[in-house]
Amino acid sequence: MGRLYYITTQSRMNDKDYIILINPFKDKIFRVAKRLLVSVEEAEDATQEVLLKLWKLRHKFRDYNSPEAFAMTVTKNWCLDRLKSKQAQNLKIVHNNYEDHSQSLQKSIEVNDSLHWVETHMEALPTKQKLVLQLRDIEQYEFHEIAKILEMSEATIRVSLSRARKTIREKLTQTHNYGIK
Amino acid sequence: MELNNIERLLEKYEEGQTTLKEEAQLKHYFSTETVAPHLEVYRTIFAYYSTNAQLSYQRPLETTRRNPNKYRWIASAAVVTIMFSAFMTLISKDEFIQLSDEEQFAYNETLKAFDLISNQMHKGRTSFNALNMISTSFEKGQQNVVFLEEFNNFNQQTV
Repeated sequence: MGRLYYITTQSRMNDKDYIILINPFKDKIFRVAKRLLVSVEEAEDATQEVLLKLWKLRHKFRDYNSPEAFAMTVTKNWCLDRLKSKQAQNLKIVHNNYEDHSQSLQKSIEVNDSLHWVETHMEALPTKQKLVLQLRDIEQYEFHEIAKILEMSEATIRVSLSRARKTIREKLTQTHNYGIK
Repeated sequence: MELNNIERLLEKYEEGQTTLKEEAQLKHYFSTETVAPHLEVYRTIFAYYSTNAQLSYQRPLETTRRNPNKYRWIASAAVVTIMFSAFMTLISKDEFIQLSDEEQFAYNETLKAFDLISNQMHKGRTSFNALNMISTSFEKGQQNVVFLEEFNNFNQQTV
C-alpha cells in the first residue's frame, strides 16, 4: 500500500511503477469486460485498450482517491461504448467464440453444468444489473465503491442488485426443476 | 451455522442488504458439502461466483516504450528543411526575372497604359483647379460682405 501510494503521488510515473499500480486490478478489468462483452477475445482487447488509456491518463491518478475505482469506471465506459457501436452496426455480440458454445452444449448434457446456467442467466440480465452483480458478488466491492464506479446512488445499486439476485435465483430454480421433470 | 440464521441471511442477501462480511459467511457456508436440499440452488450460484472470480487476464503486460529521441530527430530535421526552403525562396525573389520578348512587350504596353491613365488623371485635376479658384473668390466675396455689415453697424452707431 505504501508503495502504491508513493507511485500515485509521483508526478512522473514510469512503466514499471505503472505495472505495479495496475497489477492488483487488471484481472478485475478483464472480468468486468468479459461480463459485458461476453467473448474472451473481446474482453482481452478491451482490457488492453483500457490499460493503454489508463497509461495515457496516469497523470490524473493523483486526482483520484482510488486509481482502481477510476480504472473500473474507464472500463465500464469503454465496454458500454463498444457495445453501443456494435449495436449500431447491427451485430450481435452474443457469441463470437463458437468454441465456448459447443463446449457449453456438451456441458448441458451433463447434470453438473449448473454453473454454466448461472452464467447464461447472468448474461440475460439488463446491463446495469449485470454490472452491479459482477462488482458486488464477484469483485466484492463495497457499496460506496460501486456507487463511485458506476456513478449511481447506493440506493439504486441496492435495488438493482436485489433484482438481479432474485432473477438469477428464480431462473436457476426453474431450470433445475425443468431438468428434474 | 444454523439453518435459520442462513435463511435469514439469504433473505437479507436478496434484498441487497447484506454486508461483504455476511456475504462471505454465506459463500463459506455454501462451499461446504452439507447444504439443505431446498437451498441447493444457492450453492450453485455462489460456486459460480467463486470460480468466476478466478478468471484472469492472460495477455502479457507489454511496456511498449516508444523512443522519444527518434521523433525529436525527425522534428528537428523537418524544421531545418522548412527554414532552408523559406530562406531560398526569399533569396530567389531578388534575382532578376528573365522575360521573353512577348512578355516584355506586354509589360511595356501595360506600363504605357498606366501612364496614359495617370496623365488623364492629371488633366482632370487641372480642371478641378478652376473650381478651387471659384471657391477662393467666393470666400473673398463673403469677406467683403462681412466688411459691409461692419461698416453698416458702425454707420448706425455714429448716426
